[in-house]
Amino acid sequence: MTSNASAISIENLTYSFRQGQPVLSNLSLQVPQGSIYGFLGPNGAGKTTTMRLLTGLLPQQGEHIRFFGQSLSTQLPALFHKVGALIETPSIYLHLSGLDNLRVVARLRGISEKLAMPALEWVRLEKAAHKKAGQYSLGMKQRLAIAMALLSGPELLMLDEPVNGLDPAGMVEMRELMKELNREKGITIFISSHLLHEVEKMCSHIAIIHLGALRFEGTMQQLGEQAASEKSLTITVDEAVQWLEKVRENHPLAALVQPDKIQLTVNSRDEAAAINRQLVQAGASVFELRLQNGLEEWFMELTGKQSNITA
Amino acid sequence: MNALLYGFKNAWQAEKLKIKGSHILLLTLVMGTVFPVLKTIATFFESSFNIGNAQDRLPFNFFEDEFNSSVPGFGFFFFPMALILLVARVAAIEHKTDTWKLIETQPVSRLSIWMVKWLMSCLLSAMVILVYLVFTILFTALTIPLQEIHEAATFGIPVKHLLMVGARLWIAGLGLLTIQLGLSIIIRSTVWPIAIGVLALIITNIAGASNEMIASIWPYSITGYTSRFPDGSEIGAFLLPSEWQGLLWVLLAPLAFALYNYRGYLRQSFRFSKTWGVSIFSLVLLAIGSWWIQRPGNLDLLENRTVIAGKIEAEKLPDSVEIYAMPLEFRIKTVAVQPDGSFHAEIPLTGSVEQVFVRTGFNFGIEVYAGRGDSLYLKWRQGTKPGLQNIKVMGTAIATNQFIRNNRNSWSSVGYYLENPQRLPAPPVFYKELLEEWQGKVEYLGEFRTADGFGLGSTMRTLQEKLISVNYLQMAYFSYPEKRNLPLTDTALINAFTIIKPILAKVSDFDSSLVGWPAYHEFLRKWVVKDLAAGLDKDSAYLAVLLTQAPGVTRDRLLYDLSVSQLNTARDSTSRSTILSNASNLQDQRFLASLQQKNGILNRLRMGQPAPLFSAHTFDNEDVTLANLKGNYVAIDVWATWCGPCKTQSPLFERLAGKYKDYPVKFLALSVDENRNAWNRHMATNTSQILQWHAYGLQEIRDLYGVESIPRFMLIDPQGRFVNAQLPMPDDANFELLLRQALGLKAEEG
Repeated sequence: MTSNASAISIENLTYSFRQGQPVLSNLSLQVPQGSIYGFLGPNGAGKTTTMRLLTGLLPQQGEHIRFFGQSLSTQLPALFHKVGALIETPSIYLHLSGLDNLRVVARLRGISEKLAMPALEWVRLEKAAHKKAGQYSLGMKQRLAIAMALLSGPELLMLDEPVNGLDPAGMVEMRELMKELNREKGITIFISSHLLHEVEKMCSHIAIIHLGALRFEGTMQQLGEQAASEKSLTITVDEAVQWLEKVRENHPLAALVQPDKIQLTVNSRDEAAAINRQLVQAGASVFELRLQNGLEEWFMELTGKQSNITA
Repeated sequence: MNALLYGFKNAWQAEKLKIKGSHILLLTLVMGTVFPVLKTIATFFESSFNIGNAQDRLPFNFFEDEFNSSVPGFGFFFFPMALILLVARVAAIEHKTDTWKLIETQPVSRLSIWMVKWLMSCLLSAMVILVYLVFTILFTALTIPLQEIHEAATFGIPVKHLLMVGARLWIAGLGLLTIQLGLSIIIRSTVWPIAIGVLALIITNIAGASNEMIASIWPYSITGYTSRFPDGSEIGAFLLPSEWQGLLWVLLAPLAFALYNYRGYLRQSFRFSKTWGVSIFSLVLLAIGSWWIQRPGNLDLLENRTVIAGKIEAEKLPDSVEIYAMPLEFRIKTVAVQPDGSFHAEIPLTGSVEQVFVRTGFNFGIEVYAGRGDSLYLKWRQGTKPGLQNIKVMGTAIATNQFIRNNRNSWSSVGYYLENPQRLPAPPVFYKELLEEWQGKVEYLGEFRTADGFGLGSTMRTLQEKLISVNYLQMAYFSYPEKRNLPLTDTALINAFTIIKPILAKVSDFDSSLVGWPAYHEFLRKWVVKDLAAGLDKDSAYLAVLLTQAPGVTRDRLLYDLSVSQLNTARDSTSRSTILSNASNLQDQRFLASLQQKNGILNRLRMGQPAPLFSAHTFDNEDVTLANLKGNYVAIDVWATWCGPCKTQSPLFERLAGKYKDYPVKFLALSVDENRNAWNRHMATNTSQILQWHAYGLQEIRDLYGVESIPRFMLIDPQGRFVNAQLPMPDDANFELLLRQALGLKAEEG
């Protein structure tokens, strides 16, 4: 294991494709070794650009990226001996069998081809080893790609939107695999995604990016605390339009999300109960009160977008 | 390991695995065999039309011959096509699922990735060529039992030749390979790079067909250029200039790599000066190198000497080599042939380009062109039959000789019109086309290159320009008006003549540099007297003008030529005497002597002159002479076993012999075969009834009877005097007419 330095360290990373239009502005983050680090942001936030910069597919303008304490540019391409990357759709050779795909990667990395079969076993593909990869299902292809990324036993795994296109069962499987790898082998995992709830379920650390700038970085616990300070309260009430005015007296940001539902953010359960009492005492017919932990809202607020996110 | 090529070996191993699982190896096999298969099928259809076997040939290697005839098809189309397809497939392995991002996130440098693809393409290119070589030989061998093969063929497999051609093709194709690989990697589609490649291939082959310079530069036509010269360099270089050019195109690789490496962020990448710097530097090298290669080569001339040397290969080596100045046929040098077949002659030439005839004995000779300072080397293979020879002319005058040989019968649409007068257009149209054609031919003088890139020297170019101009002036001022029945004073013509002024500017009257060329003499003879009124004696007028020129070489040659021409058409000895007295103005005694000799022969062959006696023998080895046949008319057929036209005429001769067997005329077939055995063989199976003699002294026959070419027919009267020393051929009705006249018979009815 290398020094205590972060697996990945980004400092003041700025990048623009065209003059005056920065895609990333002063981005800084630290990925601790042994963590599962989620890199979250809506589409177009700059995640893919960051991934490409991290993998050297785009060149940096300056020296802002370090892996294991050393500058990225000095370590390319040898860095990939200890780093595995999986960018967007699985890149595999459809005309080769699953096993042969792994043998290709083994040769590229200069390691023994005997490691190929065990890698297939990790991702439970040993039965389809000799089948042409073109005949694999999407889930199988994904798993094969992960096996290829893990082949040389890397210390760091970088994944870009790994669960794209998977069905819910596939997503669960992927999630469990990541957690197992992290737990059993101590691999640092860096995942970029736009799926808040997936990230929520498996990551130990999280960073949120929007419009090229970092909005939040911290552990899941810290995230919970941040989000927890803002809960989402949904009130189903008769003649909601009329009562909206009343609620807005104390909570100007309350909004009508459906003809009979008012939504607003509160800081605690007591606050929720107080609003309920206020409405009932004023004569409203309250049918339902729902209190959510507010992560989604907080996220949306951070990223200034309406909810388009699937749970 | 060098950081630039980090992981190269690993990448190569990985590439091998990828290729093995794909269809690329199969494709290589197919592309290498397609052409041999097609060619073999074509051979089946064309062998029924094959009449080439009837001709005599020097011993040749059958496989090499078949291979050389197949290479152009491979080099022009099938090989470039194979490269385009294979290279596209090599790149497409990664395009399908964008495994580029897979391999670019492995511990392998970008340069290694690109170089591995390039090397793999080079390897596949070599494999295609090897498959082609092997299968060509295989299929050629398979067709042997099914074809009639020339008896002079030998059957060793020419491994060295095959490998040399293969290597040159491979090198020539490297440029195309690099460009196509670059395109196939940068354009992430399987179809588009192939489409672009095919388009480039078609366009360049069409353009290259009309302009040789394009063909030897442009990467898509270079392999075709190589295949036109399967024997390669004529000066012993390993590569032809066009093949070096093919190699130079590989210098586009850094640019192709840069475009791959910086894909997606080209504008920012200009900050990374190293790769772009290398690319630009390579482009500059490419430009300079190409300019250097495409310059016409020049060979150093000797000082004030002209050398004709060479090496003769023959079963029976001749004793000496004779060199004649043409077209005068003056012998200027004789040298001995060494035991190893080599010979070396220094000759005095004054002009910049002169025509010279080099021969050994009567049966083998060649016209070559040389000027002062040239050094020629002849590789001469002589066969067993007269005229069966193969000569390669090398040395400083190589471009001149090749040019003249190749362009002897170059197409002229204007000439075609003149031969089909019903299609002749009106003057303005005709002369405009004539001018354009002339311009084209003159331009070509600058474009002509031998395989090794040698062009015509400036003196040769000037000379050829003048000769071409003479040719076109001849057509413009004489052929066209004659065919159209227009006098030179016709107004339409005179207007049209202004169109061709540029041509006229190139040629002057009595140009001394042109006196070695008969075409100029013919032209001058008409030109000088063109404005003479009709009906006056043109030749006298020409002679008068000629005699006003200053005495010297120019006047002498023109005068000699005029005299010879007049001698041959003179009717009687009186006119011949007149000609000779006019010719006394000649300064060079050799010309005078030559005229007198010609006159002598003609006089001797006059009707009524005694036919000179020659010595000959019969098949039974009995010595005979013409005197033996006194008392009868004698019709003589001078022939030889190796003479093709003789074989056509002899049967007719014999038929006439049968027809007139009851008349007092003997028919004699006189063979002038140098090879007694050949005549013996003929006699062994001969069934004709006429006299068959074989002459002893061939020089005798030539000198006494002025026999320049055979067959030659003569008629002698019963007193041994000439009736006619040069009868028309038996297939001409006049032959029999003259015969009947001599016998006192009237012409036949019907």
